[in-house]
Amino acid sequence: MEIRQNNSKSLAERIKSRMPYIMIFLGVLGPGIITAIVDNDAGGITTYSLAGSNFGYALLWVMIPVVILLIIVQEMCARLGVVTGKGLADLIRENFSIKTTFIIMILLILVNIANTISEFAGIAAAGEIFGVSRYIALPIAGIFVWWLVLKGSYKSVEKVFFMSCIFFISYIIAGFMTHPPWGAVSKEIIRPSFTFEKTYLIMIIGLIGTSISPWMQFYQQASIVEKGVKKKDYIYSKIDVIIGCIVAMVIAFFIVVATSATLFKSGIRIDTASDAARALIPLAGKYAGYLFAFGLLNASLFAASVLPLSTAYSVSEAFGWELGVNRKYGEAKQFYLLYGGMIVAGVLFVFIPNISLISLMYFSQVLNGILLPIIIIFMLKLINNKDLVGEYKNSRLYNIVAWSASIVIMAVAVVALFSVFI
Amino acid sequence: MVYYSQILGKPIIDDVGNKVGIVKDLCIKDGVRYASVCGVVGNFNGNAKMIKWESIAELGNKPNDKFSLGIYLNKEFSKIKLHDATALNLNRLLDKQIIDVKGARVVRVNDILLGQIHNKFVLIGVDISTKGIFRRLGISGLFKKLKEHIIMWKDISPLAENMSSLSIKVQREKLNQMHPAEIADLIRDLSIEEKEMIFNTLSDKKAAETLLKSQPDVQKTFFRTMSLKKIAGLLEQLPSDDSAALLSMMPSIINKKVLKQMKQGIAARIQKVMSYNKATAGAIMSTNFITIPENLKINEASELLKDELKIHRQMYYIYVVGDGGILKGAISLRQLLINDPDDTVEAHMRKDMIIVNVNAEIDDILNLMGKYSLIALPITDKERKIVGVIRVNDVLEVMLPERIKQRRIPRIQKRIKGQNGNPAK
Repeated sequence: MEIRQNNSKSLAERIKSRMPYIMIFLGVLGPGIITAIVDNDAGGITTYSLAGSNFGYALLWVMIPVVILLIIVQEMCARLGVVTGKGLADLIRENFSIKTTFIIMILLILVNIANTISEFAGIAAAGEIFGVSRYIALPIAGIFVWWLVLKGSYKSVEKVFFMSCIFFISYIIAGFMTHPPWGAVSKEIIRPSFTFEKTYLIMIIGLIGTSISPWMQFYQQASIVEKGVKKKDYIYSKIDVIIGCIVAMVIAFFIVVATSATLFKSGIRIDTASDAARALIPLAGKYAGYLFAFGLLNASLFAASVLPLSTAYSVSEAFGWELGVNRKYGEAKQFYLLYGGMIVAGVLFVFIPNISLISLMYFSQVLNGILLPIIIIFMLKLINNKDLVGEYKNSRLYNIVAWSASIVIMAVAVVALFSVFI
Repeated sequence: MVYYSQILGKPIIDDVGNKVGIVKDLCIKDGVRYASVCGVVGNFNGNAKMIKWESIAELGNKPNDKFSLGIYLNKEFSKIKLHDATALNLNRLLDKQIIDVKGARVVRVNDILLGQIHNKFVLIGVDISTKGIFRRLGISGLFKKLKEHIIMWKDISPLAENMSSLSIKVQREKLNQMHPAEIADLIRDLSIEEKEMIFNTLSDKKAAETLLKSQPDVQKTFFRTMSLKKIAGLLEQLPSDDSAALLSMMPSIINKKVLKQMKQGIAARIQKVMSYNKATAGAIMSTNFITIPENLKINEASELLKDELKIHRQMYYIYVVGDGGILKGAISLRQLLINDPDDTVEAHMRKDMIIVNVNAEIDDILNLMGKYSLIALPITDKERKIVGVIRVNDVLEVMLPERIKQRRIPRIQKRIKGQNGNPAK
């Protein structure tokens, strides 16, 4: 007894002595985790479900290189944010020509509108699984998204986002409910069965492409700046990014596992994430299917809140418009028009009967393929600009790693771009 | 008048109409009303050289010339070497953020407006409108309806590395025109370095007041980066209740060190305020108030107050005390003005008044002041000695919910500014 008490005391003391660091960490925590998890949006879940239902566990290994690529890119942009105290749009505007900035912003608006539409499509699809008509679900979702940012401060919005992150656990539960053969799963990760089939390769490209999109860099950097993370606390931001990327990929892993343990096994082919949820009901039980659909609803709603906000923020920053968070409509018209316009576009587009959401996804993939390489090249230029980041610039070794990673991502983006036309 | 974007990259033309180079940049020198152009940086057959302002004959367009826009030179022009540490290059100003002092906000320079005043070429102001962006993209013709939005140089304070080439004195004067709450509001958008730089440009008093009005996380950042001596110096500028509020945000080891750096009298007063419970009157009351003895005549009191009122502001009431500082009554400035100078203070002071103990809870005080419509409430200790005053403005901030505190200063107010530009607090 004596000894145990002593132990617990010293543990408590140890925690107490670490308290200041824990508090700083909790204060810095957020941007990395939120960004990475939002990345598992309607498009992401669809891609992961397709990977699972079409290829079984054969693509699980891809999650490991994807998480590494993601961490490399997001770490650099977190570093830029902490060191310069400025957003990515701000840095692009100040360090590159106005024409470049203008083109990037136009592309960013288009990519993000396309993505926003697919998020609202996700909301509509998930709603319909629960028996709610899209004509009811979408306006409510649109108003919710608008209200969230209009009524709250950024800090309260971030809390809502954090809550939303927790709901992603529904995928992990759904994954377990499908009772996957863990032996086979682990074997596939350790010794993946690689083939050179065209569809297999395209799926790999799809997985990497959906995991790294341009809005992530803008959003993550902006929210790090908003937090005012100090240089000496940079290490915590880095941990935040790494945790976020790993958690996001763990969730993706479970989506692939859930769909392959059921759909792939039974030979069911699907086109969308909501198909997956529907198909899960007879195979893994009502609740697994509902959890899957709930996850889709949560993810789509979450991303539908982040995308318009991030776009309006970045574009306003680049063009010198008043930023709208904590301001009223009349004081930041352009910001609110852009923000509201994207939400309205998202809702109305999904109302169009017989609209092909698959072609929309292709369209956004094309734009993604154009924009992502530009953003990554500029980011590398910025992070190696000594006047800007001083001692925080990439080391030579890290630059080799970063450039190789970026070339892989860019190559994937460009191949994805052309695969659409093949 | 011409926009910088319209002459950038355009030819430099000598007095006989030959193109000798291409405009790469302009240099300016800081001034209060305008910044004067001090030179043109040009590309002369691959060499970057500067031409002094004295050699410039025309900036922009010259009627009936084959080059529609450019910089025209005098007969005798000479190229000099480039470096001038006291000058600011326009390329370093363009696309950057600056402070619009009048609008109390941070804006981005989309274009720069140049002009001529008394034979000198000057920077008149910067264009922050979206039209400025379109002009630089060469598509402003498509957006004829849009309007320019020019901020005059006298209302501009540049940020970042540009500050070093500008006159600190001029910049300080410009920034000091703003209300501390406005400065606190606009530095929220800036990086830590930029925040610090603005802070260091401000006078100590303004800096202290700005710190007081800043968001808690900004305040904490400043405390972490500033030296103890600097913090102590700033806090001495503030009323002791405000200093106490700021000090209580720091860890207790640090605030003891800060207090040691301060003048003893001030430190003692602050420590007194800090000893009160946070949720009680003592924590928010002001210890700046004026007391007079009860046996004075009105004219004697007025004489006495003239000096006191030079230091103290916002005195709605003068408190009348008996032996040992026991509160006897209060007299308003109005009563002192309208009554016979030979009357005693005692004859006109209010004896029937509400007082509250220093340990009363803030919530109850808010309620009390609201119910009785009080603008100032004297706070006493258990012997009825007056120890502080709570005024409406003290409770206003306490009453604001977090959500409102987070919000920016709404743009609903206009300000009347005199020549000195210092609005009443």
